[in-house]
Amino acid sequence: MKRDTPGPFPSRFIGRRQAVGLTILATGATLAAAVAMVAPGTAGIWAGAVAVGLTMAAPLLRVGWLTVRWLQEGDLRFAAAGAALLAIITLGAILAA
Amino acid sequence: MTAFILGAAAVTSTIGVLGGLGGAMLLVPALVLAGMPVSEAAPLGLLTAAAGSVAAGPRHLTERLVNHRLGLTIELAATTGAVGGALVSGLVPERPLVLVLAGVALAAALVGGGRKVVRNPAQPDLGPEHVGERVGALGGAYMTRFGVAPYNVKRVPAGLALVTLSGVVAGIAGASGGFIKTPVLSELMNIPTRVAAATTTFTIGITSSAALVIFALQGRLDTRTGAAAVLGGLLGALTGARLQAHLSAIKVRRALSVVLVVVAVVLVVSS
Repeated sequence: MKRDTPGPFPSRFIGRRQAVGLTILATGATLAAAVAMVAPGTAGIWAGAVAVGLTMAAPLLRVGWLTVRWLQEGDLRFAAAGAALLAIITLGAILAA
Repeated sequence: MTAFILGAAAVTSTIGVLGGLGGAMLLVPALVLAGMPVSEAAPLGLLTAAAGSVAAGPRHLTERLVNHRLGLTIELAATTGAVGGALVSGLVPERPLVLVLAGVALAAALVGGGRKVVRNPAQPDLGPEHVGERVGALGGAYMTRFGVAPYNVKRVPAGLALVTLSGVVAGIAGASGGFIKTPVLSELMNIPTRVAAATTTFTIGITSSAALVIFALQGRLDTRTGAAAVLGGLLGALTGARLQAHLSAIKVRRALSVVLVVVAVVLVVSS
């Protein structure tokens, strides 16, 4: 392995925690979407909003979580990249609003 | 219409996972041909892409294929493109949007049909404990049939320029842009194909969510049809992942390329 890149390999724990979190969000989105398909009126609309909201939030929560983990690991360069990414998305939301 | 969206999202998501081009690339043209304006179909395509990313995430994480540092680095460029594309897409008339979608379908057909497989040699001094991304760097190592193989990233500026384009495509046409990102990572930036596919799946979710935030604030996201797209995308991604082991990815990708060419022609004629 080339020694021109710094740092050890990250721990296995990071992957497992993310996987559990994603599984919970995916399950929640699936159930909410299924309810939205069959529930009438306002209940269906709210269930749909939950399904869409969870699906949209999951990747962004993943970025936030990684940013915090990298900050804790002392990997400041990539923590800054994660924070910059969230800032770009926030700026876009402000411009769209 | 909701039932049609659910069925179309499930089928296109399954095929997209099998072919590695993403389900939104088929779903958005299918909805447009069914009579839905591109401005309404694009958010549904992105929801399907985000749902597929969430569904595939746990498996890729368990196999330690995702390079999050590399993914976030390219996402800085892709998300900027996606946000910009989404902001202007509401101002563009329908016909140019349809033509852009047709062009994107044709590009996806050409890229998907011609992809090669990049192989990195295994190193005997590396073991399973070395698999994964490296702290403070873009490279990493992954498990192959012959052992653990390291990889280093090349041509980063050129890669960033091209993934910016994938973000603009996502923001305007509702296609996830994965058909641009995966070849850029594997053919241009020297990333192993499996790592490139898993990392792209991770980044597709972020690009899609960034554009969806804009669409939601513009009032272009309907929760009922959105829920149908989410459910279809989740179920399709899980089905496609199960079928992957039984079908040749290369053959599926080539068949998908033919379908995308037909879709592009039909879109241009119908517009």
